[in-house]
Amino acid sequence: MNTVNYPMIFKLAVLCLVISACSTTSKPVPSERTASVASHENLDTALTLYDQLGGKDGLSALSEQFIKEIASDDRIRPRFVKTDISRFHRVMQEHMCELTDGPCEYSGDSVKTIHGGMNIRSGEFNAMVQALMRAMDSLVLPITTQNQLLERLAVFQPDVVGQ
Amino acid sequence: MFRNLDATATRLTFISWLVCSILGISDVHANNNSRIVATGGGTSIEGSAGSGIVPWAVLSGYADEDELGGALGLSHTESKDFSMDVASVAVNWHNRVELSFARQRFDINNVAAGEHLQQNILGVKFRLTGDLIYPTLPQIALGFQYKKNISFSIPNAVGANEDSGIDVYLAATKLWLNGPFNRSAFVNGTVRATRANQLGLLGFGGDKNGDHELVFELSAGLFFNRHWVVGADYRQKPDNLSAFEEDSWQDVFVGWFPNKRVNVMLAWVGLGSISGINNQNGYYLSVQISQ
Ligand code: HEM
Repeated sequence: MNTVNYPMIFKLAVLCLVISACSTTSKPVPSERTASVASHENLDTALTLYDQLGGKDGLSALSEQFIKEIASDDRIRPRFVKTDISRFHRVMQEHMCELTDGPCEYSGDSVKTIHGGMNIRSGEFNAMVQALMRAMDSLVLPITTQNQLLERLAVFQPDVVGQ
Repeated sequence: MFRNLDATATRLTFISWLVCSILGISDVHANNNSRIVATGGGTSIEGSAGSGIVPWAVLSGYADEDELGGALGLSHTESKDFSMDVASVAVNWHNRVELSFARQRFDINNVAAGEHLQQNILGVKFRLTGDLIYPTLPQIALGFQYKKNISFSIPNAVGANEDSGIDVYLAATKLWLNGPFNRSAFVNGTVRATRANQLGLLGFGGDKNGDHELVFELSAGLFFNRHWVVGADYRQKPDNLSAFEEDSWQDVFVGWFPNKRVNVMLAWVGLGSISGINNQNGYYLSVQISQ
């Protein structure tokens, strides 16, 4: 082993510390702790994603937090200045409910039709995904549940971006 | 020479600190670039976005289609008899083109007192098609790395033909948001045409083979959550010099992405035989600051 390099390793370690110190995450990372809304996740593999998200109440809380996160993000907020928020909240829940195999039938237009003519950019879609991630983090949803929802929403990217 | 390394480290630390300050890294939301955390990968030892030893199809940093981003990387590799330091910078234009520059310094003090091998690598990578996470083709990129030795005397002495060369690679990367165990997982495959001896640090081409040949490189990993990933790399290498046998490389890594500013990778590496000395196992540590 070459002792010459210890100072370098030490420097790198210090550098790591400096960098991480000056870049604190402003939101706590969700622990792997199972959120109460999904407490029976491992008991029954047949639980729908809707159940894992906490059913009706869970989706309502999630959509509300999601809208707050959208509103706090300068990259996407301008898109919604004219939006009727309570209607948007209701339609989003209905859409997510159906998407997650809940007991609902989404009655609105297709995602492609809704976003037609908006010319939404790739960056806006990613910003939206990250707003949802922050919302799910703040509700302390397990990463395994988050990933299932993200996977189902990611499918819409080609229907939303550049339409 | 001790002082030299130390001075380099101090300088690099200072530069990083400066960049850190200039970018105003005090808040994760200060990184307004739009791509999702970890999707820019880390910085490879050749300066391109990727894992430690394999360039991926992703472009450095978090710039999306109408943004400018990039990354600054520092790494240290230590094996039984050798060590290498790399400092690099990469710029990402519109998530379309990545331009990178890396300086590698490979310490061979144990086989040639006070000596080291150095080279510069200028890289360019184009995202051709596909997407890393959304449902379409895997993201596919075409890259070039122009490598030039700073001093050719040692490579020349061991039988290398030239002091510079160009690697061309095609990389494909796919990430499944909801992969095995409901965790995100990725796979990357890279095909490279190269005639570089030990990355090019021992020159290009040799008595056994002077031409470009195709080598294969693989990376795969599983994200424990959005911030921690565990994975492995494999990289085939040419074997052009009869003086020194050259082996393929492999590593197992842990990556940490606390936010979109910082990435730290720690790997256990197996570098095989280098300069005639076998079993060069050791570790690799890299730090990346990104925009
Ligand atoms: C997976 C991705 C997405 C899905 C599933 C989705 C779904 C929806 C749904 C269900 C509505 C409600 C339509 C109605 O009121 O009847 C809507 C409206 C809307 N969406 Fe999206 N959306 C997605 C991504 C985006 C993105 C990335 C943006 C742009 C930043 C965006 C901007 C809008 C706007 C501006 C409206 C209209 C709101 C209004 O009524 O004023 N959406 N979307």
